Amino acid sequence: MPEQDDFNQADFIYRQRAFASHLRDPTTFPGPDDVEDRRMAIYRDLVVNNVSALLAGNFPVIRQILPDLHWDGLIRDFFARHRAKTPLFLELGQEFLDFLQGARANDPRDPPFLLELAHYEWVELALQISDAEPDCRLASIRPAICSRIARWSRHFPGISAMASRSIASARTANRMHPRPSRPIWWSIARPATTSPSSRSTP
Amino acid sequence: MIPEPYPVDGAGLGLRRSFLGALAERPPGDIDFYEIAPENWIGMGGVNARRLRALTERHPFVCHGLSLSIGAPTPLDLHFVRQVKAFLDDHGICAYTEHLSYCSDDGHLYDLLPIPFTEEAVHHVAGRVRQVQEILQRRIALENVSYYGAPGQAMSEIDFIKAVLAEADCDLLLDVNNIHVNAVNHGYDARAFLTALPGERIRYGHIAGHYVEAEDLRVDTHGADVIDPVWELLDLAYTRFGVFPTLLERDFNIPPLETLVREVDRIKQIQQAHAGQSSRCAANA
Repeated sequence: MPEQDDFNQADFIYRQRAFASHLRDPTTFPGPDDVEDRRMAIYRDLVVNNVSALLAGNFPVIRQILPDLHWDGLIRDFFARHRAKTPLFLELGQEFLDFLQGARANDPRDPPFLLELAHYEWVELALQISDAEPDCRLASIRPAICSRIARWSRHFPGISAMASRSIASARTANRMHPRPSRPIWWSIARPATTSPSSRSTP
Repeated sequence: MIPEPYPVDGAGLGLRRSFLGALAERPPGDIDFYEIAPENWIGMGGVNARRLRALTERHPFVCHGLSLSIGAPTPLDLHFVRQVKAFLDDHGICAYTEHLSYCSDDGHLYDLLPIPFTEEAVHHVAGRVRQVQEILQRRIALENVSYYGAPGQAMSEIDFIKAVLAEADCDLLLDVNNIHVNAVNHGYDARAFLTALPGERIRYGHIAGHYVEAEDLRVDTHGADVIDPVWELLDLAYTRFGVFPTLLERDFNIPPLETLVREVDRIKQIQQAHAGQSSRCAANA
């Protein structure tokens, strides 16, 4: 298509793609040679922190269960290997699910119940923002919930009780990523409060 | 050309879910309008959607988008633009604003990335703005964003902004905190930058706080109180261009509502101090 050809030829288009590629995967793609690395570090942190905060809000139990380094690695992998199509923040959770089911499927680094737990938390959010009447909601969602919880519980028998307590505490504790970010993107799925701290070097 | 009055007036506050309930029960009289991002509300149902609807029926609102990615190296998401139009129409919101930036390549990165300041990029962005304005059936205002690097820079930031606004024939959302942040980060004079902007295109403004990363490096976090040099820039903007509706942005470290109302009050005090000037006049004199 002519429009796509134009995109491919323009220098600024190339630079934009290269810039974004670096932010997605800094270890594989170098930053621009005409921007200081400490400035690129701001972009690298902003991108990761924003999505980390949003997804922590959508999946608070996963956030609490996973050690910080593991969660951080998951977010960075999300950027590197997934292409989120939605412009809507309510759908970011679905993008994360797609990533866990797709590029990250059966990753040996992750706990075996990760996908099922993500589905459980996603369903919770879907129910919160649904306009459906309670009985219709249960009729359509219950089979999926029951199936997911059953599979998830088999992986780790005590996890369902722990998760229930974590869900309750996550709603009140609202732990967020400690690095400052520019959360102009913010999740309305969970209340979000945080404290500033000095920005750590990645 | 005398522009039509902007759909909102006075001093406003970005709507946050943390005080949605409090606002629904007892909206502070000092807030003239609110701002929301359609990306946070499209597809929302349940109690929060009903609360928002109750507010949009009672108060003036502006939409400030986040995901339009007007400068992106990939085609416009026309389905999304139509979703935005439907949202605006559904809530009776006339004003739609966005960022002179991009936030996507083949997928969304959910942050504001710097469009290279080049002539080709001007034409690219301006064409897309015209297309969006046609679909939305209204003019849009683009915000002068903060940026930490300028890859492939072939022209100055001020020239890039002016060229896009002129070729697209769209409006400017003047963010005075971003001018301060960019002036520190890129070593230019904030007041000179401000006065060089095309005043006749300024329809709406933002003010916010930022994070001091280093003496020569600031981060536009919207997570702190507004500092005095930024208040002074707002005052200079009103002096130079006339008063325009202005919003307080606070996205992070959100204090209690009454604290935010006090900052909004300060916007109003500065506006009232300039009340003798005609608001939104073409001010190139």
